[in-house]
Amino acid sequence: MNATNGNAAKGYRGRALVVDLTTGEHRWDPIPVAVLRATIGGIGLGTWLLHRYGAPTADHDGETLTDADRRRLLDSALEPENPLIFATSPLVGTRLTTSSKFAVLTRSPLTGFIADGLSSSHLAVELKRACGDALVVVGRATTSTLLQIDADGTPRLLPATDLMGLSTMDTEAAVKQMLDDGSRRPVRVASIGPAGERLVRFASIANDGGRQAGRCGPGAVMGSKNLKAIAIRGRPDSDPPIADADGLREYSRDLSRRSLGAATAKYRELGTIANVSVFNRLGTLPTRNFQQSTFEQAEAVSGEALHQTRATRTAHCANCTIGCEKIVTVAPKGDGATSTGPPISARLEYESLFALGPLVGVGDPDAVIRAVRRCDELGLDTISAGGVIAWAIETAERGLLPQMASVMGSDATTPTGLQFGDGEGVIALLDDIGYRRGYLGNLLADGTRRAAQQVGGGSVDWAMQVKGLEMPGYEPRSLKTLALGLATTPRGACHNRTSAYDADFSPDVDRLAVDDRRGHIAAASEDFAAALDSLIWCKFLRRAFDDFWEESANVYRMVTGWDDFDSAELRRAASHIADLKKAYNQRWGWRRSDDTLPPRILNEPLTDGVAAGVGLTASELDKMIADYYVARGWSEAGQVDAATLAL
Amino acid sequence: MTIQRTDAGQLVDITVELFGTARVKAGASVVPLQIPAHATLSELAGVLARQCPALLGNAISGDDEGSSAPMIQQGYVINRNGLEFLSEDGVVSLELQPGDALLLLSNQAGG
Repeated sequence: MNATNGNAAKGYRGRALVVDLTTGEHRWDPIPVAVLRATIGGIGLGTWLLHRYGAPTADHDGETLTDADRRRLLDSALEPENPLIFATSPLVGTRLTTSSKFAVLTRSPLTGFIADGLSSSHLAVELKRACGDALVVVGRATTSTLLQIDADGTPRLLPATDLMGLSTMDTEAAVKQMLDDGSRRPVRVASIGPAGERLVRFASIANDGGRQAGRCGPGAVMGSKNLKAIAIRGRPDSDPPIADADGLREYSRDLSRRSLGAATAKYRELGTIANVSVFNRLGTLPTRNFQQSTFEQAEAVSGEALHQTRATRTAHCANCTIGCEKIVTVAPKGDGATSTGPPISARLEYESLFALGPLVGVGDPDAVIRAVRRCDELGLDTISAGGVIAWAIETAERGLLPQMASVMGSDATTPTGLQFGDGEGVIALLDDIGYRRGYLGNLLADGTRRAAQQVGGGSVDWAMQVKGLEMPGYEPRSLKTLALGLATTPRGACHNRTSAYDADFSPDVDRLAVDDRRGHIAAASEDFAAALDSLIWCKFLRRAFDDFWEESANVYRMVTGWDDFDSAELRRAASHIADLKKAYNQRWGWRRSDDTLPPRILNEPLTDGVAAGVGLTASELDKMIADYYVARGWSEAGQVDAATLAL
Repeated sequence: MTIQRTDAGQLVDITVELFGTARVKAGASVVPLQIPAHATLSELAGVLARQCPALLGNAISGDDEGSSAPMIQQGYVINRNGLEFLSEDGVVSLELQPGDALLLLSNQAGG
């Protein structure tokens, strides 16, 4: 049985492929048309599926659970019952620029709450062709497994023992070789590396040559299912029909033209790494575990400097005109005279550069690039990896990990006395984390929050995480609207499920002060992100739209044929998706106290840069959170009314 | 660089700091300027374009023939002293102070 469903709306399949790794069985579950229309696709549809396949046996009230019971509940994300969901969107398979994207959803082993990530490129297209609107993987295989999905949507479970231990890139190459049948179209592969195999709680899932669904640890969930890789190749003639193909083609040409204009210039020219020098100047570049907001070596690792001093080329996701990816190549370890081995290339994004550079005090760009590459090979989220290492270094500096040599373990490779700025030490520690080697590697592989809880000594105060997810490279004390977004976003400290920072980088607000508009701005930015992430458009396209809501509703009409769908309905859908995400956390024991920021942010004013002296108090944050709950239409306690969630 | 101005606008010494592609194209990270304290964004763009012609078509719109008024290009924004993002309205006086640093940067903060 293939993924075609004649009863579905155009642009959709109307069903999801569900594969049970425990039984080896599969089935096609229909997705009601009303659900598709209300959740759009991507993150929205994936969240609905997460409620359907990943709900607790009984809903929990986090406020009345004991701490111990709640911890057990949130720690259960690596159990076989936790689904791993890959959701496509109605735009996948069209020629619209940036539309080849998919969402990955599960319950996070870092946070215990929703994990909703995005990745992109060819795998998105094959997913939709072979699996319908979503692939849902449940259960656990008894041994390491490769899930192959044929062109007709039939899954096969193949042994993957020989793939164990391979990096994400080597796994992809090996699977492609294994399944090569001479076709001109290769299979597309999602895989985990050694970190996912070892259930590192911030392990990523890689696809299409190194793109990562990185945040919140979906790779650990995949590893917990003994699922090393997924290989998919659909049939090109199985793309669902488009209601107004001519209109969409014309719109697509116009949007592609606009995507090459000034609105995307930064991403096309230097890429996101251009943020480093700007953020440093604005006092919003988190440095040495958020102890500073400027980095004295920022120039050395800036996008401008790397563009001029390192070999850089541009890469595109499938079907993308922007080309934000900057592949930077450096010599292997050592100076020019002592280097051995081939040059090392890495996809360099701002977040990876920040986390493995300023956040850990490293100003050697070659060391940063090698660290990013190592994370991609191991299958580690770069932000969390840098975050947990920064915490470890500060904790050691404060004497709470005083016997570094004795805690490393005989098989560990991290040098003793790791300190801020030690680029090679950071790379060695990445390996210890990815392979869970030694005491420290194992400790850090569980993420910053768990490590701080285990070490104690007040180290939770400088554990820079929200809900367990390590913080991205935006200093919240000097970006007050984003501070609210980071505190309230359901997946934890995430800059992608809210675009609240847009306001802070504009004349619309004073980014260094708090006022009563931030709740509304943060809620609106969250809705905006929900619409982008569900349709799915790339966020870097967002300013290329003349009117995002009208244009997106028009595109959706052209794809689906639902002529009565308008921008007001899209806005309602986006708001509903935000509610769905929060409701999922509620069912798993969310508490009001989960919406907060680390003690360092709330107790220590900034000490350097243009924002020196600026802080954010707990009462200021609480006031913004209260305003945000009002803007969302939630209760004073931050609860979504379950009755509003019925579809 | 001194500009000719017929009104009595006081000239102040400021710097313009360039970021991203603007820095790469101009081959400089800081550009010193002398400009009327009440200059507008459009006037700032004109002075800056004359000082750094490489910015025309990159961060500053207009042309080097003077047939259209220079403006800070869409996609860019000006920040004063790292603290205040300025309105993109091209006719509002910038109310510059001696020593001000104007940051010319992308208005896209996504990472």
